[in-house]
Amino acid sequence: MRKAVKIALLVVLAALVLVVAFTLVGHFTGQGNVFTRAFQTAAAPVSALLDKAALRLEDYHAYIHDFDELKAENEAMKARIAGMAAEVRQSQGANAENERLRTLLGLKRSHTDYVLLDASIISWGSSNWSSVFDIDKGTFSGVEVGDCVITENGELVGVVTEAGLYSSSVRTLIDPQAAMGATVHSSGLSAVAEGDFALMGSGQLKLTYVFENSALDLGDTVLTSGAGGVYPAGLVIGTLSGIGAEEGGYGQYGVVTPAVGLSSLSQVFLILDYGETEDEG
Amino acid sequence: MKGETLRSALGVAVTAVICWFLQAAFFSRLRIFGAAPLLLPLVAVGAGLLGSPGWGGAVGLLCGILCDAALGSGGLLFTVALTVIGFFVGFLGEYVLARGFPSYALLSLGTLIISALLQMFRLLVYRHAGAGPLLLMGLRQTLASILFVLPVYLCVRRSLRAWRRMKERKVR
Repeated sequence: MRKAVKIALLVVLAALVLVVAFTLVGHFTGQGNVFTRAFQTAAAPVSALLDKAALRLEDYHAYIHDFDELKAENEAMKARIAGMAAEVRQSQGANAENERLRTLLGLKRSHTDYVLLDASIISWGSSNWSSVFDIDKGTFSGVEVGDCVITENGELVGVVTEAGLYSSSVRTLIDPQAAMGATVHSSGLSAVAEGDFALMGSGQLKLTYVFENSALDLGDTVLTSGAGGVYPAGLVIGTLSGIGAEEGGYGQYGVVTPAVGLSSLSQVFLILDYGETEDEG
Repeated sequence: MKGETLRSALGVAVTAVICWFLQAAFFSRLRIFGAAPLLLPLVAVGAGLLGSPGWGGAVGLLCGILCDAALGSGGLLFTVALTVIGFFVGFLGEYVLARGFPSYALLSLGTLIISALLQMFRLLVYRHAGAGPLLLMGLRQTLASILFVLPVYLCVRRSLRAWRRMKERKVR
């Protein structure tokens, strides 16, 4: 028994010496540990498999571990995206307003006498018989009944018919009760532009008191003449889009399509005061 | 007794405010048959017929103010007209007509026609607008409004149910 143990011990020692010897040889020859390399080569498939499994396990662990963090991050990102989208929308609105104000600046430069006030449309009247809307400015802001309402491009919108403390009612130029002195730009012909119930549905108004032989051409621009004192001269009413004969054959009338797009209107400007027009260039 | 009256008044007021909201905000852009419907006169008629002349007058006044506000006219046309109509309908309901949907529908139609005639009157007389387009618009407005007769009737009837029961108990 002892003999067998001695033999085994010798074998092990011999093996150890061999391993140490081969390792030293490999080390000095630059080939590394031959035995470990051999083991690594033999175990490579299993090792790769285990490595993949470990990687998966690590991923899963990381997933479990990081889930709450990722969730919170995702929520934060979503909130940030929503905020950025809101900023973009605000920016678009600001750009549009900026554009309107730039155009208005041009109008102010050409009409230095205009005292302007900007206002937003609150609501439109639901009547089938008139065309009116409310704005968010009233007497507190200096609005008075009879103030003229225009766009940033100097297009006529209407006139203030009622002024409360913080809101006012505006009658648009196509309302059947609206009437204003007008002039045809190309010919200088004077007439009266007035709302007509039959034309209100199609968003147009009528150019009346036009002499039968007066030259009216389709496409002519119709401006305010300033007669009557409510509307300053030179505001764009619209373009002549139709010509017809008055009932009984007494003269003719024109159909005017307003320059202002009433349905898409959101912001308007009130002329609180005006004097002489000073055109530049 | 006071609680039932108050509950009914609150119900009718809520109905009127909902109708005002629909008329002012919703139908200022959306059109039915090319016209915006009138809803508030229907509430005034309902309150008059199913309630009493007092109910009709009071609710007519409220609906008239709301209606003038919704139309943006700034006038008193409906404030006066609906108060009178509400009271008158209440009188008819008390002494002449049966309190049911047929009476309500008939009176609503009459009120809507009167409303359209009142609205076109100023344009016809002072602005010399053509009668044809005015009548056509009046017809469209009446037709658009008629669609809401049944829903408004049911709302007002439900609102006034408590008050009516209380009144019937009192009579017995």
